Amino acid sequence: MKLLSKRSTLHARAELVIPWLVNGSLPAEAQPALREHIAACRECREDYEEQVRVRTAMRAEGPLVFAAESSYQKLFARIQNPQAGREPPAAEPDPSLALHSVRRTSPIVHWLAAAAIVQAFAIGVGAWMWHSSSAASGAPYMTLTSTSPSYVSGARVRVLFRTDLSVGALQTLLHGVGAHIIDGPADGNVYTLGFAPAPGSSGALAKRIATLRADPAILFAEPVQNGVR
Amino acid sequence: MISAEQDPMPASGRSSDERECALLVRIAGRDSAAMKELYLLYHRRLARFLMRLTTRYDLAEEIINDTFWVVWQHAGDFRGASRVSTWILGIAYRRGLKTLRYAGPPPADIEVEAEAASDEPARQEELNEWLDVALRRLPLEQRTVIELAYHVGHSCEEIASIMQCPVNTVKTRMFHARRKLKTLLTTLAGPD
Repeated sequence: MKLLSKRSTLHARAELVIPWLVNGSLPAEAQPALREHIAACRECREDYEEQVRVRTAMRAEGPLVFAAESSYQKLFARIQNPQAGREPPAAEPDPSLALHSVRRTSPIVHWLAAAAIVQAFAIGVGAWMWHSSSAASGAPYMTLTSTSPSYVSGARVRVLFRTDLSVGALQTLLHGVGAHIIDGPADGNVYTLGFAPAPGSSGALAKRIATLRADPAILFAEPVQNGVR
Repeated sequence: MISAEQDPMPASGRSSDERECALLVRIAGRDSAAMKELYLLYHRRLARFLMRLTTRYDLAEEIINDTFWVVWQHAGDFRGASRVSTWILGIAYRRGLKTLRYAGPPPADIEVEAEAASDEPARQEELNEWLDVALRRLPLEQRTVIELAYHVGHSCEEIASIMQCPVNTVKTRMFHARRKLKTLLTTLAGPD
């Protein structure tokens, strides 16, 4: 009778703590009696084995595509300039950003979709760069003897645009600060901007960077230090 | 006798906690390099946890940065009463709940049964696939407990600290979460 009561107590305890036996966080001194019970109790053993499978599945890496570095740059910009306004949380859930669309579709489909977005953006930017450089120089191409525009040797800023930014909005944004895309996209879709005419002072450059950072279409904007490409 | 599955936090866990404590001390002194190191150390873990909590990619990223904004401002207040990960996950959990209150309910499930019935992957792959669906159908508190225990690897007491509730509440939530998961997974798997 006493043995039965001890067994049912252990059974009730096992039912509650099996997950922490599975994840290894249950105190060592509590484990031997529970393991002995689980080995002898079919119901608890099946539960334990099922929980091991669930945990294994949950620890499996899904195709999450977070860009830690660019996220950190946004935080770093906030740390450097705590007074800058933050975007309010989105009011409506965007179904295209939901977990099920990230995890339940095939990774290949996911990468193809991402590649298509990046490609479309790059084509748009490329077309606009070709158009603006042609218009600025008055010639369809530049030669080695052409006069270099001021942004070739001037201040540079690295930026990350929102991926949903349209080419038209990009043109307006860059025109507003007198900037040109002179390189990119590099790792993480980072572009390098130059300015023409070049900012006359470090204060003028800081003002342009502040304007870029204040724009919600810019995820981060950081000046390139001298000698660093 | 079943084998002991050790993993999350024995001696190596203690040393990584000491390293994270040292980073917090430097962050309290406004060391941005330490901030970046801690951020990159936690980014993936938090992203997974917050994706599970919110089911939204954009919100998860925002909450991670809100969490580390709090870490930057309050690193000096950390007294070592818990592991660093418990402290950070606790901040992320509360920020997540707050953000969800503004953001409204998650998008509805779509075509789960049709999709589950249409392909025949191996058992573990099936489980991975259906688990996502089943987890989203659990109440948020139950989903959070199971994520913190199985993906992050926290103890019952640590989860109670993160969620600011009694230990027995954590055990009860986990118990009901497992029961519901079992039912949901059986339903999704369909008849043999």
